[in-house]
Parts: sequence; structure tokens; C-alpha cells
Amino acid sequence: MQKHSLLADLVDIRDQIARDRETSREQLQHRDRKIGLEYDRPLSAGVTRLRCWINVIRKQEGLSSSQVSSGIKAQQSINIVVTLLWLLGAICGWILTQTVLFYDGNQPVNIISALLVLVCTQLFTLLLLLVFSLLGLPGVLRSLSVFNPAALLLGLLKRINSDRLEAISKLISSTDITGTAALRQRLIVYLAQHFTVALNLGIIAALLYLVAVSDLAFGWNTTLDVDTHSVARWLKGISWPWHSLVPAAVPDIQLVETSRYYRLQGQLRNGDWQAAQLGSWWIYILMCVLVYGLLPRILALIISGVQYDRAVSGAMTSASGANQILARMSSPLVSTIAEGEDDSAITRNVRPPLTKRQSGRDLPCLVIEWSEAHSNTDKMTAVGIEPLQIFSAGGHQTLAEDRNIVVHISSHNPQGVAVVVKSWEPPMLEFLDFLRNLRQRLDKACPLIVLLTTISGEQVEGHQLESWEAGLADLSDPALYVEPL
Amino acid sequence: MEAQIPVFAIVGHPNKGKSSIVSTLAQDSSVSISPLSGTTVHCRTYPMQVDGKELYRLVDTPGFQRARAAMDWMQRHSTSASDHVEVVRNFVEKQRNHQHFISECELLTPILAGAGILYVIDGSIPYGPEYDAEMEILRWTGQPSMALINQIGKAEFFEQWQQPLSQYFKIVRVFNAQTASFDRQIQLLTGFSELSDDWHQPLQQAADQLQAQRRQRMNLSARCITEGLVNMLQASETSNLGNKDDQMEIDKAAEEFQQKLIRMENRMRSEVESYFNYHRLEREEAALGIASEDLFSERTWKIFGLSRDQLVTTGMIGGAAGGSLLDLGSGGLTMFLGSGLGAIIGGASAWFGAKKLIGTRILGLPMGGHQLVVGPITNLNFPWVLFGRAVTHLQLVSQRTHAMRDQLQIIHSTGSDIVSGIPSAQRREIQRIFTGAAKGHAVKEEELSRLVEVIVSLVAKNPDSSKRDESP
Repeated sequence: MQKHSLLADLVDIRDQIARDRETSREQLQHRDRKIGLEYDRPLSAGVTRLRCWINVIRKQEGLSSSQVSSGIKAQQSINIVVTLLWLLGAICGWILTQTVLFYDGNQPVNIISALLVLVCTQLFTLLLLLVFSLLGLPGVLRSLSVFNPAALLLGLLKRINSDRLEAISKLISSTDITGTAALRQRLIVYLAQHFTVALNLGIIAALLYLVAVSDLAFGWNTTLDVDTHSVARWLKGISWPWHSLVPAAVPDIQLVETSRYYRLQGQLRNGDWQAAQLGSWWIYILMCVLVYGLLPRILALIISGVQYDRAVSGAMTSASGANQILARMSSPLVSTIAEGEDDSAITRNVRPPLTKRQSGRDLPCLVIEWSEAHSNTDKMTAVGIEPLQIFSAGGHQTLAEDRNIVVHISSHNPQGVAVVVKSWEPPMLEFLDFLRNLRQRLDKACPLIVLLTTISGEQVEGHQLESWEAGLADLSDPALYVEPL
Repeated sequence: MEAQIPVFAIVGHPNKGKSSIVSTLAQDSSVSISPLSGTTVHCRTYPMQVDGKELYRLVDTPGFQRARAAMDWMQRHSTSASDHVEVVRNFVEKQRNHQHFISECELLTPILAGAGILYVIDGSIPYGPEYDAEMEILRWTGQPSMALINQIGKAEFFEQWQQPLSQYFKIVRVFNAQTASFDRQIQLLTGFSELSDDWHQPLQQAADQLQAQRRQRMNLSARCITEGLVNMLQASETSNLGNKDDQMEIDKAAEEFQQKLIRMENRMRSEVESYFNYHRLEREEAALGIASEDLFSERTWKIFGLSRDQLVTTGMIGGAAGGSLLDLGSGGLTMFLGSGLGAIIGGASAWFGAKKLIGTRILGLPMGGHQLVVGPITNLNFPWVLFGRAVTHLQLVSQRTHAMRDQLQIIHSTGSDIVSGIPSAQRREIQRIFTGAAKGHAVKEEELSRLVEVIVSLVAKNPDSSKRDESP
């Protein structure tokens, strides 16, 4: 399996999380729990587990070798930026040194100016970075980034409409709630250190080149009444780190005195031009650049690299959705829902609705109380039914007793039959069987009226009436009516 | 041989809440619940699985339709009390291919295969003789059984039911499928183990897993809320303005920003609901209202992609750098006056000079222009309103059962009741996180975790959850 960088994994994880929004949670749970059971080590760090997860997903998605993920593209973009910064840094260092150490044989190169430009400026910017980072002033750092070549290059990248650069551009422009802001800052700082290391190497290369192919003479001058001994002490102090390692790069008082010159006199303090001696300052400058330029920048590169990796890891674990992935991987997949589609319910055939009974004179009816539903003579009269005789069926009655009731009622050849039922119970098939038997024995035109009673005389609820109407419609009986009692 | 897993057949009269109970216990909203009788005609199984291993299974069955006729058949074919199970088995075998007893055969099949019986009645309607045949048939199967008194309506006829039920069932429990709290559901589930000692261990294991799942759902939901809140607090919309005083453009941008916040909140709601297995839950909630004065519309301009403040800082640094050269040249005699003056001059030049650059074009590209920034909302109450709304929603979703099919009605109070439940030190800490987020500061992982803890504890101590428990 191809080894991906942290950044590539971060970009791919964020992409996958975005793609997962289109997938159902159940599918995600199954997929991630499977990965968790097969590959995950729950005790390892979140970053390790997320990287393992994205590697398995890449494998499952079957990303062929010819396809390049957004993560790889992002890493490639960063690599391009790093390469460009190295080139730019080295060129800048070379040009800067050539300019600062320009010597045409008339005036010696001012050693103080050379140190200021080649070393102090770098130390100053490093100090600024340290102070602002420690003080936590992101706004100032953002403003300073105008001068940062890495930020400038990244800014340019954002404006280039390239598929390869899209991933990194998206990452550095994203507004994730945690992590990403820190990552953007760390990335710029880390990239800038590549530039400065290259700058120092460029300075060193140019210095060595000038020393090798030309004769350089260094000196120092000032309008102020400065004691040469103080300057010597100061310069010697600077060379303390290498004084025992490279004694030749420690300026002595004689060299400092010799190197002082006055432009008006056009000569050195001692009046002697000792070109070889004045040229020996180069090794001091070289050591200054090495110790105060290159070395701190290499250290800064290493530290910022570690911080950048941490920021990428932080952005990975704090990415919106990363927590959910880890939870899905480590938690048992608990499922309680039904398997497959619900085919347990029937779709009712649409039957013609029951017709409404015409109101008019009272209809003399034989009354059946089904399953101990209580009839109420007054209420029946109120709905135009004149109860003649009351029978009981259903409930505790046996089927044989129900059949006898049907025979008995049909023998009376009634003008109408009212069946009182409990509105709160549904129309059961058993009851429909009873009505069917009754109809078979009665005249087809004999009204069969199902009266719905309620528990405490309240109104029949709409859904109850609806349920009874729907159930009784299955009998397709034109003389069957259902009414609240 | 592997021990048989517990299987429970939910049986009973039609429309007495069998499917509601299954829906609640299985946390499955796909169960058909209809007021029309005979909606369920086939059994449907709901396996409870942990990593593919089944711990128990619920079987939703059709209701009895011809119980008296079935009982009549059985009584006619029985010669003594010892053959009851065999008679029921024969009944199912003989009637299986006939439509007449399709419901009875369907519901008796899992019971004859060893399922425990959960007989459901509606405690809000009175007992009637039509239930006797059903209970008698179930007794004939010889399987362990429990009666569950569900309550669909408002009335209570529990007392009336106690006597007939206790004649047929050793265990009678009250369980309201619509309102049962999660703890009550777990209590009922573990109570099933009273039917058989062999079922105790798998049911306890299942209860433990369901409780762990519940905790995880709460945590993930709280995390989702936390991330959503911070995103909403940090949200802003920037658009380029042709004319800085174009009120129509400003109103349009403000409206788009409000819609963006509403979309973000809705997305957060849907995600929380999905954690609790609600996928198409209808919601009724007062829309998020934002006063226009809270939108913090700022007309600003940018040059070289820098805001005015950034440009001034940059100018100051540039000026200071130039001034410092003067200081160095003078050997420090200027007492760093050069740096100070340089910074002031640089900053002032950037401040006053920048406006002149707007409209200037270099190689056809504009140097700067007017921008309208809407949001983030800086009103101190805004995060608490969002917080209160989100916590209320989570409370309602986490307490809802899957048997409820009505809209989720979210009635928001002022939010003060939720905020007052937070200790003042914690409230200050949260306010600090909110303020930082609104200023665009990155929120630390520890801060997010703290918010998650607070939300989970607020939902857990909601007094409503205890009110909803019924005594068994």
C-alpha cells in the first residue's frame, strides 16, 4: 500500500467525510465498525486510527494507481512550493551576498553593514516570529505574512485554477472550527523556514564563491568616537560560540585596529594596506552566518516541522466528523431495527364507501348487542330506530349460539336489524363473518345498521368511525350502514 | 449446542398497540402503525444484534381476528388438558394453507417455535369478553407469557384488567409505548427475563449494550451541537459591493446570511435526529429570528487583499523598519525615535492613503474596493439562544419514542430555564468559549469537550424524563 504523508491523509479524510454525508448512517456504521474490528487498535492515538481508517477506505474504494487522490495532490502542491522556496531562497541569498560584499578595490566592504544585513536581519525576523508566537498575536502574524515569501506563494497558489492545487487551496481557505486555522499558520511558518535555510545556504555559497574567485577586503568605520577595544570586545563576544573550535575565525584587537578606516583619508587607520590580513574577516562572517543564520534556521525548520505535523494531526482529530468515525470504529454495532422492507402490512383494496341511511320515519328493528355492547333505547329512537327485541351475540356466546341467533332473527323477517358494537374495538373478521351470515338469511334490501356505542356516552371519535366504515365496506353490502349511537 | 436466543412474540387483539410497543423497543420508525384493524397480516422480526451477534428477537404479529372460531376448533379437537399444545400445533398445521385463520396461524407460529408471549392490551379501554378466547389460546400454547398493559387513550381501566389478566398471566406490566422513557424501556426488557432464567444473561447483555449506545448517541449529538454552534457563531458572509450605499445589496446579503444560519441549524437538527434513528422526522419549530441590528453589517474595503486594520499594521511595521535603519545609522543616539516615527508615519500613510487606491487599477486589475461583511453575530444573547434551542431539541428527540408519529413540536422558552441549570462558573466558561468563537478564534478540543459534557448533563438531568416513567 502506498505510504501517504500526514497532510495527504488529512485532505483525504476531510474529502471522505464530505462524501460520507451522502451515505446513510447505518451504512457508515457497518463500514466503519468492520474496519474497526479488522484493523483498528482502539488504544492507539486518534491520528493513527484515522490514518488506518483512510487507508482501508482508499483500498475499498479501489483507487487505482493511475488515480491520484486529493491528498496526494495537496502533498505534491506543497512539495512544489517547497522546491520553489528553496530555489528562491538560494537565489536571494546569492544576490544579497553579491550585493552586500560588492568590492571594487576602492573601499573595503563594511563588516558591520555585512553583519547587519546577512545576520542581524534574520535574527530580528526570527525574534519577531518567536515573540509574536509566544504572545499569541495571530493578527500581527497575519499582517507580517505580507512579507513572508511562503505566504505570498500560497496566496498565488490560491489564485491558480489548477486541479492539482485545488486540494491545498481548499485546505488553506477552509474555515473549520478548530485546527485548520492553526494549521494554516504552522504551514506558512514551516514553509518560510525552508526559504530561510536556502537563503543562508545561498549566502554561504556566494561568500565562498567570492572568496575563491576574488580578493575581498573588509573594514569598519564610524563617525562616533568609539574605542577600538570596545568594538573588538563586541566582535569577539559574537564569536564566543566557535572561539575554541575555529580560533582563526575570532578577530583579535590587532585585526580590528587594522581594519578601521576613514574615507576622507582614503586609507586605513594604520595607513598600511595589508590586503591578505583584511581579507581574513571572511571566515568570521562565514561563521557568523553559519552560527547565527543557518543553525537557528535549521533548528527553526525542525521545530516548525514538528509543530506543523502536530497541527496536521490536530486538524485531523478535530475535523468535523472525525470523532464520529472513531466512535463508529470502536463501538459495537448495535442494531434493533427490522431486517428488510416492511411487507407485514396489507394494502386495502379501495371499496365503494357505505351509503348513508335515509332519515325518515322510525325503522322498527331487531337489535343485536355484539360482545356485550350496551344498547340504549332512547339513543336508538333518537337516530330513527325503534327497537323491537334485543339479542346477544359474540363475546362469551358460542359460535353455535351466534348461528342460532341469526336463524331466529331471519325467521322474523324483520324490516331492519341493528347491531350495537363497541366503537373502541375494531371491526374483526369474526364480526364480518357474523354479518355475512346474517345477510345471507335476510332479504337483500333489509337494512342492516351497525350502531357504534362509546364507553361513557361521549361522541364517537372520527378515526373509530373511519375504521368501522373501512372494515364494513369490505362486505360490499348496499343495505349496510354504520352510524354512531 | 448454542443456547437458543430469547424470542418474544408481541401478540394481542388488533389495534391495541402491538406495533407501537415493537416500534418503541426496536427504536424503529418504519413499523406500520395504523388505526385501521388488520393492518399487520404477516409477522415481522426485529433482531437485536451486537456486531452481528443476535441477543434477542422481537416478533410483531398480526392481531387475532377469529379467536372464538379458532378456540372452538381446538376445543372440538382436544380430548384432555394434556394435549393442548399438540392441538394448537395441529390447528396451525391444518389451517396454515387456508385464508380463514391466516392471522391466528401467523401469530401462533413463532410461539410454537419457542417464543415467549407478550400479550398486549389497551389499558385505556374496558375489558370485554372478546379477549377471553385469545388469552385461552395463548395459555394452551404452554409458552411463558407476560401481559403488557399499553395505554393508547387517556382513560385508565387498569384495575378492571388486572383480574382477567392475572387469571391467564403470571406477570402483568404497565408499559406506555408512546411515552416510556429509555430507562423504562430497559426495565421492561430486563423484566422479560422473568419469563425464563435462560434469558437473563442475553437480555442483561442487550440492556448493557443499549445503554452504552444511548450514552454514545448523547455524546455524538452533543458534539454535533457543539460543532454546529461554533460554526454558526463564526459564520459570516462577505460580498463585494459595487456601491457602498446600495441598500438593496445590503438587505439581500443580510437575508442570505440569515438563510445560511437557518440551513446550518436544520442540518444540525437532522444529524441529531439521525443518531436516534429518526430519519424523516417532521418538526415544528419557530424559525430562528435574528434582529437586523445584530447582523453587524460592516462596509469595509480591501487593498492587496488586506483589510484596513491589516494594512495599517503592515504600514506601521514597514515604517518602523525604515526608521530603525535611521536609529542604527545614528548608533542609537536617536533613542529609537526613528522607529517610532516611522511606525506612526507608515500607519498614517496606510490609513489615509489607502482610500485613494480604491478604484486605481494596475494592469487592468482593481487595487481594492468596498466589501460588505455580514456576521458573525456579536449579540451576547445569540449563542445562548442557539444553545437553548439545540438543547431543547436534543431533550425532545432523546425522550421521544419511535411509536410517536406526530410532528416533533419544539416549543422554546426564553432559554433562561436551560441556562439557569448551569452553574455560574460553568456559564462563564461557556460564555468565554462563545465570545472567542464569535471573534473567529479557533476553539480548542478541550473546550469542545467541556461543552459536550455540559450539554449531556443538562439533557440527563431534565426533570421531564422522570415524570414519564410509570410504575410497573
